[in-house]
Parts: sequence; structure tokens; C-alpha cells
Amino acid sequence: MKKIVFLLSSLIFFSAGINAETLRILAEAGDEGTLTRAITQFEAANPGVTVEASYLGWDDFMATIKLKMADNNPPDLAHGNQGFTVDGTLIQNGLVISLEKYANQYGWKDLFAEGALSEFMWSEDGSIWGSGSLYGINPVAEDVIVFYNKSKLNALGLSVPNSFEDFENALAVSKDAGELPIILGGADGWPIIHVWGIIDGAFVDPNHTRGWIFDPKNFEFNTSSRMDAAKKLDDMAADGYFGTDSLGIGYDDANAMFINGEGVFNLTGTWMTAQLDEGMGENVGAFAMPTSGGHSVGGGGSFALPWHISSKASNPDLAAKFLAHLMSNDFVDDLMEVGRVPAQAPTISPTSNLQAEVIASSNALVGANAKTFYTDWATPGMYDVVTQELQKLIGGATSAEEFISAMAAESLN
Amino acid sequence: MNYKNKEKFIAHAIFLTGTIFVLYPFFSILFLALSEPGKRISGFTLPSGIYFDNFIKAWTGGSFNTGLLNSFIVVVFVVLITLICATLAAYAFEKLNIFGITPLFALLLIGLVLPYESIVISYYYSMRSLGLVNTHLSLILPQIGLSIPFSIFWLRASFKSIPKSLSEAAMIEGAGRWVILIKILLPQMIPALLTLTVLLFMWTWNEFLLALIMIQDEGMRTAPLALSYFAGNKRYGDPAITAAAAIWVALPVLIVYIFLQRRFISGMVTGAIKE
Amino acid sequence: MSNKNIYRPQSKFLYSSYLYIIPAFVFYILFVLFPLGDTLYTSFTEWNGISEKKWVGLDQYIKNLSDKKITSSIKHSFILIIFYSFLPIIIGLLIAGLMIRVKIRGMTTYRAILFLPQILSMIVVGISWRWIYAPKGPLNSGLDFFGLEDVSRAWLGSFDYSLMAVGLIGTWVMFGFTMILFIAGVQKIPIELYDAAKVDGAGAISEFFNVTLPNLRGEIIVALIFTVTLALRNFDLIYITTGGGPGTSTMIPSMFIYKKAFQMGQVGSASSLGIMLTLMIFTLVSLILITFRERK
Repeated sequence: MKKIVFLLSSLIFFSAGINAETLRILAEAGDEGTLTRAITQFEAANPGVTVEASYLGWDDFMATIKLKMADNNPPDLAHGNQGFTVDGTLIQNGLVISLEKYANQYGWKDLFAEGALSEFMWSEDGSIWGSGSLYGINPVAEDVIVFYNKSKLNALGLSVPNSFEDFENALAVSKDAGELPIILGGADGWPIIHVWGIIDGAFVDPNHTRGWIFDPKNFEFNTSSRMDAAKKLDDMAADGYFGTDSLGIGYDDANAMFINGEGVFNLTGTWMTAQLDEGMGENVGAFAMPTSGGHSVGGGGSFALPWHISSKASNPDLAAKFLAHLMSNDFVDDLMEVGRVPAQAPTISPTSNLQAEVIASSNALVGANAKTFYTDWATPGMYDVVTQELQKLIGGATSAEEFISAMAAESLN
Repeated sequence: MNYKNKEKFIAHAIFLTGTIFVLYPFFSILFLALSEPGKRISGFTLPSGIYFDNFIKAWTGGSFNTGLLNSFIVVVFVVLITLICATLAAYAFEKLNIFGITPLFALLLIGLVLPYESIVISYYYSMRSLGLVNTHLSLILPQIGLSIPFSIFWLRASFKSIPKSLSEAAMIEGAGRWVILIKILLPQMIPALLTLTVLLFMWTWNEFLLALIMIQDEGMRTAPLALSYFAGNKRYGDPAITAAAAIWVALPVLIVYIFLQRRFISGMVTGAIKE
Repeated sequence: MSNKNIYRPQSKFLYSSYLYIIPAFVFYILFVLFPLGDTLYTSFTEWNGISEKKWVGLDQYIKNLSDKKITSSIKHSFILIIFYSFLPIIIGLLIAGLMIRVKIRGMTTYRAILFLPQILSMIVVGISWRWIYAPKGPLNSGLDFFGLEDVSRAWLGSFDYSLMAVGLIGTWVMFGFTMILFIAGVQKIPIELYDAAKVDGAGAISEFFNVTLPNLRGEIIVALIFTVTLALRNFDLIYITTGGGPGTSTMIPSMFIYKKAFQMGQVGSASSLGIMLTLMIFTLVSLILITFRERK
């Protein structure tokens, strides 16, 4: 029995042991390439510091991040997610600290236009979003745009659409030619949010969408233009533009299939740039979705996931120093090289044709002030509601009207 | 074909059908795991050759070495401590004369039926306030508590089946309770204890939900948890590698099963009846 | 028979005998009874897991019962009972009925294979079946091969079929267990009972209902309790195959408990759902025991 007690206590000891000179990071897996590079540089520049990073895939990350930050021994530095669901909860419960001090020290606010960082701003009690203190930061821009298979588009005699109506025509032509118009990994739910963001952006005034996301109780969700967008998505699904199996395909599989030549269009985020580039080379292009009528562009988009410093971090200054490294001018070109889209202007030219087109699309969205974030940011329960309702809409299990009213109802929660 | 042979033929046909139904998923996942890496096979085909690359990628990419080790640590403690506690209690329940034994035994019935999915919330918050989240203990302690009711029921029935005369003889000779348990009864209990060990090993090894909520560090994950994260992680979207990972996780239980399958089956079939 | 002259030693009641049960009960009380009481208490509060608990009485229960998503998740659980419990038990009973007098070779091997799904982690089972049901997986390739392209689909992504698809995994896991359980039971029934029935002119069907079924009562109770509780709990399999989707078409209470407690920060509501699930299982188990108890 004594042995057991001894072993048990040694277990506790070993599993709770931490080193003061270690920076522990928990990140969403999409950032692995970026972080690997940053960590090597940071460790070289700061002898004696070890950075330990662990990664979780999107679903697992979002499912567990709040619990992990609420632990007695949370990671020092971790991603959150914009909105009340994750960031709001983290701030309301004092689990992460304000970055104002560090933003001033390292000049982060000067890097971007006034108001550009509002998605990272919160009141001290976490009840108001969109203004207040800076609680998160990230050097990467992530926008939802349209990737397309160049040889397929050419073979179909189509060119990059100039309006949403053009795009619809391209879908019809693709379908008639026996191609899958849009590849969609709908089994995971959240990839449909990106599709919705693009179609919503083609119809709805981006200022209204952003207003609704920051303050869903006071901005009407159910507008006539939004109803048009919902009906459009409903029709697109009914016309088979997403194929018949989209709800049985995961996001990774969908992208792998796109790389292997299935699907003409792929409506997803710029975070896929490196992977698509590697898999398809010259055969993949990208554009920002033109709006209905073609006067502007639209689509979801924001900064990448906010980095937060835990309120229990043993050395918050060290964590901030690491963030400063990520945000530094020197790191912008590294971001380019690992295939990300930096939110600051890079000094080197794009490393590939696709990256050039992605950056052009991103700039077009910024220029049109058309980045509308992501629908699921609006309320704590919105992620569940919007993913479930969009799956129903795509699967023909609900109507556009029911979708809109379910979303409007959740907006008031 | 006479009547008897016809019956046998039908029986074989039924069992063969069942066997194929059971084995089909195993073989399809095995074929998938052995398929050529990077090449997406489309299901109904046999693999073009045998490749072990997927197994290597799964092993190195999913940190299954630590996953298997963590699972092993948890299993050893849960099984050992449960066996000791449950043996003592079952002995007391069956062989010792204790006042108030019936209500205590009835109390154990709750644990036998209780779905632990309902109380994991409390586990999590209790462990968090004790600072034990993300430790082996947060997996070991609750699983001992959850394993105890079944183990006591199981062992009590086994104690019952030992003829009274054995312990009576010892008692006449003046042996104490402890000596009777250790020297006289335990040797008779070895088969029952072995079966129980196998069952507890299997249940603890396969436990998932508790690990899902308690463990955050990659290095602390149990094998099933590592597998679930692996299957959900973008970096390893290749189903063939996921299939190989699933085989890694199933392997330890499978190996034990191959050697001790009678114990698994009799344990679950008769164990269930006894209660 | 007993000879009163023989001294039968009785273990005396000693307080120190409690020492034998204390370790087990310490674990049992700390890690089963206390968490149950704690969950019960939390179920009467509103709590986000971090702030103070606020007593709200039965509010959470009322809210849960009027939440359509939750009531439909309970309905899904009952549909799953058909697949996890009724189907395997019917299959098991029918086959056991055929096996009354038949002893075949290779039974040990059949048994070992049929029992296999029972020993595997549901995560492993789920990953295997995710592949079987995949749009380009073995099932659809098989259907296409036989010219049934119209039937093949993304099974786990279909609003109409996903619950059934998950249910059939449950059938796959369970049917070997019920078969083995019932065959073992049937072969313990004295053959004279069947011979007597035959003398009375009973056919195969009446033999099944008059001899086989009544004598398998114990096994049927066990199979029902085991399979029904698993159908109602079932977290691992749903988590790894569908996560409750598409939409909420495979959502079940245990999945909701997890989502509410650990993703949505509604710990009070999750706890009350946990207590509801516990009560459901206790009620069903009692019903099974009452329905099938020995009639005197």
C-alpha cells in the first residue's frame, strides 16, 4: 500500500510540474506551420526559453478551449475565438488579461487603421464587444473567398465571374457539364458558415452584418436582403450545386477531393492557401466573391484567431514578447513564406501565383470594407444554432423562412 | 441430407453470415490501413499491396506511444485498487456477519445502474477545484469508484460459490478473518479474479468521455482520446492513417482477447446473469 | 439433513469487520454518491461553471422539457433502443430457438468472433464505421457495384438515414452478445422439457413460446438492461460518428449534457439533463425488472 501511495504522489508531482522558463502554447492546428517557424526564431533569440506548443484540430480545439483556460494550470498563451462564445466567456470570467499595456509597449495599434482591431476589443467585464480594451491580437488576415480549379473553368469556357449572377451561371454550366459545381465538407457544420458568409455578403450590406454580429439584440437579422441570401443558398442546394453527399464529407476530405480534381469551386478561407498551392500548383486560382449586381465584393473574414495571455500565466511578459515577435515587421515575410496572408503589407512579392491572387482578393475585401466576420460570433449559442440550421438548409430539412426565424430567435438569446 | 445434417447446415450458414457481418468492418479498416499511403482507395477493392507506412505515420504523428503508456498507467492503478477494495468488501458482505449489510448492499445497486455520463460534470468541477485536472489521478479515482459496484457484485457471487465447509474448518482451528481470506478463500478465487481483471482492463482501456473532459496536454492523453483527436485533426485528414491509428489503439485489447477470450465471454455473459 | 450435533461456527459480529468494506465505500461514496448528489444540487441552479451558483428550483427541468431539441433528443434515444436492444434480442432469440438440439463444430471460434465488437473501444468502432458509411466507402462502392447508385448516399450525413445508420452500428455491436447469451441459456434448458412439449403435440413455434422463452427469462432481463442502458448512454459512438448531426438528427441527451456543460457554459441545465437521463434509466430498468419478474 505504501508503494501505491508513493506512486500516486509521484504521479501528481510529475503531471503538475512546470518549468518557469517554459512558455506553454495551445493552438489551433492550422497555425502549426507558422508557430513552428516563430518558435525556432524566438528560442534562438531568447536563450534559456523553451516554447512548448500543442495543437488541436478545429472542432476539438473549440470544444475544449474554455475548459482548458479555466484550469488551474492553463497554457500561458492560447488561441481564443472572436465573439461571446469563447472570448466573451474568457473575459467575463477573468481567464485572460487585457493586452493594452503590451499593445502600447510594442505599438500594435499603430500597425492598422483605426477601428480595424475592434473584433479584439472588449469592455473590462466582457459584456460589450467591439470597443474597449484590446484582449487579443493576431498578425494574420483570414478571409473567405472563392478558390477555383483553373483547368476546369477553362474547359467549361468560363472566366472569373464579375457578379454573383455570373457566378450562378457558372454553377449551372458546371452542373450541366457533369461537374460538381462546389465542393463542400458539410459534415463538420462550420464550413457551411463560410459558404453562408459569402452568399450573405453578396446580398447584405456589410455594415449591417457587422453591426448585427457585435450587437445581435439590437440589429434585425431578418431583413429582406438576408432573406434573399437564405433563399439563394436554399435554391443552390436544391439545384444540387453542392452535390448530394456534402453533409457526409468532412472539411479535410473536401479539400483533399478538391485537390484531386473534384469540384469547380471551393468556397473557403485564405488559411487553405498553402495547402491548395502545394496540392494544385498552377491549377488553382482565387477571387473575392462579387456581390449581386457586381458593384462590390463580399465575404466573411477577419483576423485569424486571437492570441490570449492567460491570467494565470507565470510570466505574462514572456508571452507578450512572443506575441510581439509574431506581430513584428520581420515576421511578416515569414508569414508569406509559410503561405499565410499577413494583415500588414509584406515587403517581398508573393511566393506563388495563388498567393498573389489570394492577397489581391483579400485586399479587394479590405478596400470595399466588406469583411463581415463570421456568423457564429454573434451569441454564445450561435455556433450550434447556425451550424445545425445551415446543415438543415443544405440537406433540405428546413426552409429559408424557418432558417431565418431560427437565427433571429437565437439573436435575442 | 438427413434432418440433423440439414439443421447443422442451417446453423453454420447463420453463424457464417454473422461472422462475415462482424468481420467486414474489421477487414475494410485493415485493408484501408494497409493501402498505399496518399492513394485514396475507394472502399470495395482489395489493397494493391501491403504498406506499413500508414502505421508508422500514425504512430509517430499521433503520439500513440505516450497514449498507450498513459492508458496503461491508468488501467494498472484502476484494476489493482479496484480488485483490492472489492475483494475485501465482497468477502465482508458474503462471509462476515456485519450489521446493516442489506441497506449498504442496496446502496451499491445505484452505482450498478447509474449512467456516469450524468455525473461527469461533477467529476470535472471537483477535480478542477482539487487541482487534479489533467493528471492521471483525475482518470483513476473516478473509474475506481465506478468499477466498485460491479466488482463487489461479481466477487460476492464467487465467494458464495465456495463451499462453506472450507472456511468453517479453518474457523474451528481458530484462524482469523484475514487468514481465512488470504490462505483459504483467495486461492479458490483466482479464476474469478482473473476474469474480473480482464473485464476491468477492457472497460478502463476503452474509457473515453472522462479522458475527453479531464485531459488537455497532448502528453497526458489516453489511447482512445489520442485516437479521437487524431481522427479530428486537420493535419491527418488521410483516412488510411486514421485507420492505422485505430488499429494501434485496438491492438492491446485484441491481443489480450485472443489469449483470454473465454474469460471475456464468460465474464460478460455469466457475470451479467449472476447479478 | 443437517445434524444438530455438529458445531457450525458462525462468524461473530465484530465492529472491526467494517474495516473490510471501508476502502471500497470510501471510493464509492466519494466518486459515485457524492458526484450524484452534487449533480442533483447543481441541477436546481443556474451556473456557467465559473461564477456563483444561483438557486432556480425546478426551472432547468421545466426549460429542458419545453426545449424541442431536448425532447427530440430523448425521442432519438428511444429509436436507438430499437436498434441497440430490440433487434439484437430478436435476432438472438430466433437463433437460440434454432440451436436447441443442434451442437455444431467450431462453436468456440464463432463465439469468439461474434463477441469481438463487445471488447473494442467505441472510438475504434466509430472510426471503422465512419469509413464504411463514407460517401466513397465500402458500403456505397458495394451498392454501386450492384447497380444501386440511387441507393448509395452519405449515410451519416443524411437527415433521413443518419439515425438509422448509427443505430445499425449498435445492432452490430450487440447482436453477437445477445446470441451468445441466449444460446448459452437455451443449452441449459433440460431437453426433457422439449420432449414433453413434443409429446403434447407442440410445434416449433409453440415450443419456442412455451418452453424456450419462459426459460430464458433471466437472460432476457440481462440483455434488455444491458442494451437499453447502452442505447440511452451512447456518448462515445455519437461523438465520433456524427457529433449529433446533421442538424440535430442524431442528437442524444448525453451529447447535449457534454455540449451544454463544456461548450455552452450551461452547467445547471446540463446537470438537470443528467439527472433526467439517470431517472429515465432507473425507470426503464425497474420496468424491465417488473415486467419480467417471476410470476408466482
